[in-house]
Amino acid sequence: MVQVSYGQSGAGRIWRRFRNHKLAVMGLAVIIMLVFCALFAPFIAPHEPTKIGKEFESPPSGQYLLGTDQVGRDVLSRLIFAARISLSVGIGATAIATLWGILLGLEAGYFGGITDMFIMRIADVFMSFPMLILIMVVSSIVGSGLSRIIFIMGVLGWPQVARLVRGNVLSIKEMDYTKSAVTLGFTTQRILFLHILPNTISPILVQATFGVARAIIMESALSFLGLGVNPPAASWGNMLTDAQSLTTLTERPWLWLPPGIMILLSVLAFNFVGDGLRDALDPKSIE
Amino acid sequence: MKNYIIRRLLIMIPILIGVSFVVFFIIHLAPGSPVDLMISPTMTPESRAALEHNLGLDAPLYRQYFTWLGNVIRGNLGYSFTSYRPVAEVIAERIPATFLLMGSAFVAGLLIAIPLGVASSLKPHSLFDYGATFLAFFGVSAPNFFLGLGLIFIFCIKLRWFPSSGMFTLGGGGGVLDAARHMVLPGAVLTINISGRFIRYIRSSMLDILHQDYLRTAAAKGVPFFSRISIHAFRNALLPLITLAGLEIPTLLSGAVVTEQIFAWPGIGRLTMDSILLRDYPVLMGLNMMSAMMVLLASLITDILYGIADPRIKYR
Repeated sequence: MVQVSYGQSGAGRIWRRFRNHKLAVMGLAVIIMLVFCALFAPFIAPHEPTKIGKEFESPPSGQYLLGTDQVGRDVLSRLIFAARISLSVGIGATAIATLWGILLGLEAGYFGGITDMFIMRIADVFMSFPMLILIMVVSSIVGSGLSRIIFIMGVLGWPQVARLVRGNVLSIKEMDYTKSAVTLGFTTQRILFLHILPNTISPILVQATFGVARAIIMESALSFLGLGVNPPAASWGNMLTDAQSLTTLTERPWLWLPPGIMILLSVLAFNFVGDGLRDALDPKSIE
Repeated sequence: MKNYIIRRLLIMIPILIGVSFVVFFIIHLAPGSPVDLMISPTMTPESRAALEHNLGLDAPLYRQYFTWLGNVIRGNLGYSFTSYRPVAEVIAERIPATFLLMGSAFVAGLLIAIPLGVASSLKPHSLFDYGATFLAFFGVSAPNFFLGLGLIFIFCIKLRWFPSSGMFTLGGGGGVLDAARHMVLPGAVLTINISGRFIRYIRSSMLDILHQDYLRTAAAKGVPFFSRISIHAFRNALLPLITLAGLEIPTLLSGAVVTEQIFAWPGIGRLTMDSILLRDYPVLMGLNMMSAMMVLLASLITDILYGIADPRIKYR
């Protein structure tokens, strides 16, 4: 076990290692760009994303840089606004899942016995569904929409995190520093959150970064199938839905290529950053 | 070993009951009723009530659940709301198509991933390694509906090499070759996803092993390079791989849903999508139970294979 130091030197060392991973640095740049688009979408977008214009399916031109869609909305503006959807689903769902996973994983690992049995068997139940199918069923039933999708994916995503946390807690609770904290009579809460949690935070962070990538892919698949974010709100997934028609696919590539590329780029970016973080945070990795 | 398998199979029962409980209540707590989709505007309230009664939808929810569970234990999964055929039959006729697609993609994915993963672990941080890493991340990150559309665009529309949908040519004679031609594109989508995952796994588990002492010993006593890698190293790298392969099964099933939807492949995935849209509760329940069972069985088989690959592991 390597002592985690919180000073400037620790963060600096992690950043130095992270920088060595070229793809991760590129991923970080893409993410920063996406966040920028999401935050300032109304200022960057040349048109209103839901405004119906006069020109239908016009190819890219000076006025509409990426052309217009079936009802004359500007594709570029919709693309920029959709960054908001993807990022909020990715980060929101992962945050909920990670929070739940941490709490339940800490409980299961630290208390053991019946608590552990109970929590992990429920985790087994949730992990034995194909995630996408379960989310499809739930969202077709409770209804789709942005906040619902975030909630459903967040609530169903906790078992992976819980397993990871539980495994780490099992080894950390045998460490001398945990035992001495118990001997000193600290409250369980304090031990769990101040002594155990900080020492398992790096794998959680790595897992969460990959989780964001997974959530973005899942949201776009759901929206693509019509069970996620619904039009007129723009999501990269639902922008691709209409490309299933043969004429769009053959004759209007500006309608389906850009949103597809955006999904690919953002998922790649989060996966690369996750990989870079894993290398950078791994105490075993060589400088 | 036998006891271990029996115990694992017994543990599956409460998990499957848990799964059925969760899914049943989620499905039935939905506002509205599947009857809404079946009635015509001219139907009287009486005949609507009769229809609900026939389908067993008027009983209290917990009673419906126990009726369903009782029937399942007796081997009856119920009848489809839309086609009125037994659920088991409806699902069974879709299974071969999905297994064929997933199985071929799985094998093809491994055949691509193993050489690439092993080769990139032999020369880490080389140009080849970076290429393989990039390919791996691309395979994991490319959404399969976008990949599918891209492949259709290139290979069906531009090159006209492969058909874009279905399993057999309409009005054609059918046959193995026809199905194979239809399978190339959906299979390619899944293969890209799968090989992407495995390249990384194989690379990192090979990297862990290549520095072990026994490999240096093997080199010292003059074992040729190829058998050192393939027999000494790869066999040991196989262990974590088997576990990970088992864990991929649920992801693979999810991927199949989307892929089958795009390529109109007549398998489980499309059936799932259709029964979600038509609110065919019995079929949906059956599908969820089946996929949960597949996932659990896959993890059991994974553990058994693990024991075979690593003689040090004893199951009791």
